[in-house]
Amino acid sequence: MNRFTMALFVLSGCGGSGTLTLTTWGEAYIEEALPASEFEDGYTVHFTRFNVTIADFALATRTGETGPRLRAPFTVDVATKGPHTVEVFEEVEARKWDAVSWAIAPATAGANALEVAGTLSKDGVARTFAWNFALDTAYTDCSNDDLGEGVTLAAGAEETVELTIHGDHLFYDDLQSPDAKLRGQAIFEAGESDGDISLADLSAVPLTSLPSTQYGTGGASVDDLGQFVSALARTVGHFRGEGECVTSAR
Amino acid sequence: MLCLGVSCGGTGATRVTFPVDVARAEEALVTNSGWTVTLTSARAHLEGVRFFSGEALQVRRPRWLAALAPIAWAHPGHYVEGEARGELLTPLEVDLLAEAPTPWGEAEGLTGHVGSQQLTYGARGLEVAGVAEKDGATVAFSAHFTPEKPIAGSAFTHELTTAPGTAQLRVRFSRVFARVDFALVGSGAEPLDESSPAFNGYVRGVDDSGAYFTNWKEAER
Repeated sequence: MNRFTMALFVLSGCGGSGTLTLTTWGEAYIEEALPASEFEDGYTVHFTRFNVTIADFALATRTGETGPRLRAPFTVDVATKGPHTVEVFEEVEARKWDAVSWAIAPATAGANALEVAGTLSKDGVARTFAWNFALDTAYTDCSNDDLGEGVTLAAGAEETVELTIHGDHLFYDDLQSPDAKLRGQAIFEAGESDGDISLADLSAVPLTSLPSTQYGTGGASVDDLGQFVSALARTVGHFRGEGECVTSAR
Repeated sequence: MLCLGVSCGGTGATRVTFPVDVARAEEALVTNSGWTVTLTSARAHLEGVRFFSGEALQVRRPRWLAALAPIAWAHPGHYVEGEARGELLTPLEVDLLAEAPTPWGEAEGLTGHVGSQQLTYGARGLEVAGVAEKDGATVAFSAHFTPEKPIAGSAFTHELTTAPGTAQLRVRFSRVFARVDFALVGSGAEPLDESSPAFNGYVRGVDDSGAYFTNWKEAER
């Protein structure tokens, strides 16, 4: 069914249902590496673990109608080969679901929402990192420039919605600027004492010790590198590739 | 020049003008590192301000302890300014310690939703002088910094109509000085050593979009 026919079908209100498969994927950046060519300062990242807990995926419309929801939080290591199927929703009403939302959140009280481990290296010298984030982040009003708001499901169709995880975001050097770059040096140097870069190490680095042209915070009250990376950890969730959602702390 | 004509896009918006004034926000001035700051001079050299329909990135304060970004887009840079709603492009040098707000001029605008603003500094930027005190230590300081780019994404939420009122632009010195540690002034504090962490904190504060906001005050009837 082409897009025109699908649009006519959906708009005509003919009803029916389809199947929606929810997946998640860490892309090559998480599965393989963040190459030095992507970094402003030539560092490379290899992720060995990237556990993400997906929760509260829900289809809805802007007019208040609700569709199926994810039955339970789903934790998966997106450093392993994907895409990974999160859930298959059968018999979903065929229509445009233009208010899609989800979350990256702890599965249970005290758990982490995101567990990231790997190495940051340059010139043959590698340092390890293992960062856990118990953040609870809502992603709402998801859309994709190419695919539109939410998801449109035609009767009899099988549609896939991919919640895409962007691991490169953890290394951006600005929280707001469109000119943000990937940088590794300040994070690498934070692990100088023992070769491991902990979140505590990052929190010991005040932003005022870094060049004022880097690690800009926009309007966020972020004062050290640990807070900065934690703020970036809220931005890893994307929608159907490069699509975006409104992101907020819960 | 912004396309502020009613004919632009045929939105049905109405052209309006409204006054803008500038002042400091009234609030305690204590840095994150515990220095109490008393300003003796604070002059802003402003080039212009533009108002947009796009929402500011920080439109409400977070409840959670770390006070990180409560609302953001999933990529840096995704403050989306949206449609132009107004502008005032008359240069102004303003004394931010003046007892009353300083009138800036008349902004031209279009009716509709305003969600954010962009403030542009002139050549001398934000010049300050004062005294910082902590645990019996006193540091006299001065500094100035001019951001290279407009400060984008500051908060101004208002439904602009033909009803008269004033846009009140305010500078929050608590945010400007939040990251300044006056124990780390390097080779000197008058002016602040530009290679010092203290000056770095000042630069980050002037660049902080949370250091600026605008309120709308309806005209008294």
